[in-house]
Amino acid sequence: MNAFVVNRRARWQYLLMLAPSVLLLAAFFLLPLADMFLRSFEHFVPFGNPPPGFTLENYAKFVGDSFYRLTLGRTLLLGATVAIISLIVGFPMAYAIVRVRPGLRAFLTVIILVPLMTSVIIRSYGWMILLGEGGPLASLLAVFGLPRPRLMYTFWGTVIALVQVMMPFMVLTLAAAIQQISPTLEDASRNLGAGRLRMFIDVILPLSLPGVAAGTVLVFALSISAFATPVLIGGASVKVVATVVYEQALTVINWPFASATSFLLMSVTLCLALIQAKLVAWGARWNQ
Amino acid sequence: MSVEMRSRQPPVALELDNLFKAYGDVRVVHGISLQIRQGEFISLLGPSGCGKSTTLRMIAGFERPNSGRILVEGKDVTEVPVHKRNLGMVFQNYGLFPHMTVDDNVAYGLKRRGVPAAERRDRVADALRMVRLPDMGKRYPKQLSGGQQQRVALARALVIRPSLLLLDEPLSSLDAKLRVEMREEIRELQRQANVTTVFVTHDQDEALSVSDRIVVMRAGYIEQMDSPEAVYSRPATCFVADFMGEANIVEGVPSIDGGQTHLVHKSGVRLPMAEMEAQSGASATIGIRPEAIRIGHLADDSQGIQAIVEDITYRGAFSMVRCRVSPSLELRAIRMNTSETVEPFAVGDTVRLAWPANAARAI
Repeated sequence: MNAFVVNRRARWQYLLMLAPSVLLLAAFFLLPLADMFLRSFEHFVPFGNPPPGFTLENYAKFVGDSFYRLTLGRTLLLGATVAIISLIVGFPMAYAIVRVRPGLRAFLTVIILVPLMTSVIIRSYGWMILLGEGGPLASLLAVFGLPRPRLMYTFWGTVIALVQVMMPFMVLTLAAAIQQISPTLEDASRNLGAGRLRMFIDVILPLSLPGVAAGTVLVFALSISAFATPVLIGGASVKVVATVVYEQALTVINWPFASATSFLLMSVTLCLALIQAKLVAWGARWNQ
Repeated sequence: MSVEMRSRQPPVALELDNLFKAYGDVRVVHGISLQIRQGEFISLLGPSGCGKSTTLRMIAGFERPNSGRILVEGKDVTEVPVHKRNLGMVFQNYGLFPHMTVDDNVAYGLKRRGVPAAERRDRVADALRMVRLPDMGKRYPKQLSGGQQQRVALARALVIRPSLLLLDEPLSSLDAKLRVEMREEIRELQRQANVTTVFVTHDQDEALSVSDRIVVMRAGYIEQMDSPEAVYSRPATCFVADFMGEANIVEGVPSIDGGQTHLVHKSGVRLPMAEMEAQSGASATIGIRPEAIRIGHLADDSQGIQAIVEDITYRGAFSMVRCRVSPSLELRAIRMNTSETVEPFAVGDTVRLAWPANAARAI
């Protein structure tokens, strides 16, 4: 049997192995998405069948209304803030996980993963207690004579809760990138005259950029589409695009507008993912 | 040695003073002391786990000794952090920065020392010329072969004019032929730069061919520290004899008769050996290199001891011949495979083994 035939047979086997997940995704993700996409161009008629024909009025409504523009702006700001704080807090953790001895590494990884085993709703209720007016955080600050911060139903309260939700995604993505950096490079840098901080700037940071980009975009995308945490912690004062979609789809029953809003949010994420891919390829041009 | 000669010796560049290192309960280095003179090329040689890499990493400053001192050019650097020691190091897997060009890699140490850009450029160019890679400056490490990367790593270590050059098994990731070329090149560069060098290796061949002195280590101790010739031909311990190439190690009791010393093996076989000072009656161990043993046909002469060929292993330039002298004594001898060799013998033949008494020294 020649190599070509073997190859072709192998390819068939791979396709067969992919089939279940492709079918599942097609049936329950791509088809509904396509349906939603078409729906976002429909006219909205309350409690009636939409008239035939395509319209851009749903998109125009979102872009044209300053309330929705403000909501989108707030959502993006929230996503960016959460992504940056997660990056700053998560980087040392990711670095530590990679460089500690194996036993401790397994333990730390579990610690990082444990929050994922609890529902976001339950965790948000936890945060509501922690951040509340009479909560432990407020009491602790009061002990030191500091003013009680208002965190429940605020932007920063939402940021804190979201950062906690996003931490595993950020840390694991960064750790995967830092894992690729040989400790020999750190030794080489220090041997050639770099202190630890200088070594970090010269070696660890540039070489972990692909992970930084991936983690930041991932956390940003997850944050701007987050629903439960902004609703429970932020409430009415931290309205995000996801809340708009929820209200439009389930309260107002305006599915065309809800669909258009969803697609606007999704296109932001897609653009970012594209920019990230380009940036990473450029940043790692030495690798080719 | 006369006072006159001693004064002409170069100054001590590196001194290790009773260095200890343990990780928890595991002791890795047990009180290593040695002195290395300016311009010397020293190999730390031993099997894995002998403490040679840990010793090198302590010299570099990556590991802190539990006790003992490290002096570079007379100054105690034991407490000096890595980046202030001014030592050039070449790592096993090169350790080149993949995101920097060859130029930037070599310039890195100079940049960290605040050398101005113009001087930096000149010195980088000089260093790359020195390792015969003058036109590779704009490339990234990934675009170079293993040997080229290793030369860049050498240039990067030497360009900072280090007090010491530390080589951590720098040849182990190269293939056999390149390894031999590179070790000669390293030796040549080291002589040109006249930089004191500590070379860590587990390959006795490498150590023998490049070193001024070899420090043979085992389990955290120094077994022997001497010139390559001395370490090979006058091993201080059985371990050294065995580690530095093949050796026949035989235990027995020395006996002197008629001016000739013999080692009497427990089987009764008498093996000629060099004179030794120890009183007869006490047991002794001798080492005989296989290449020192002459192997010939039974009829050729009456000298030597009789043995039966058990096995012949072809090794290219020579064959290793395993001979049985008695049920409890086996000796290995080398037969050179020159075209003049016209005394083929086969497994099962009876042969005679002979060696100059000087080649069989007590350990």
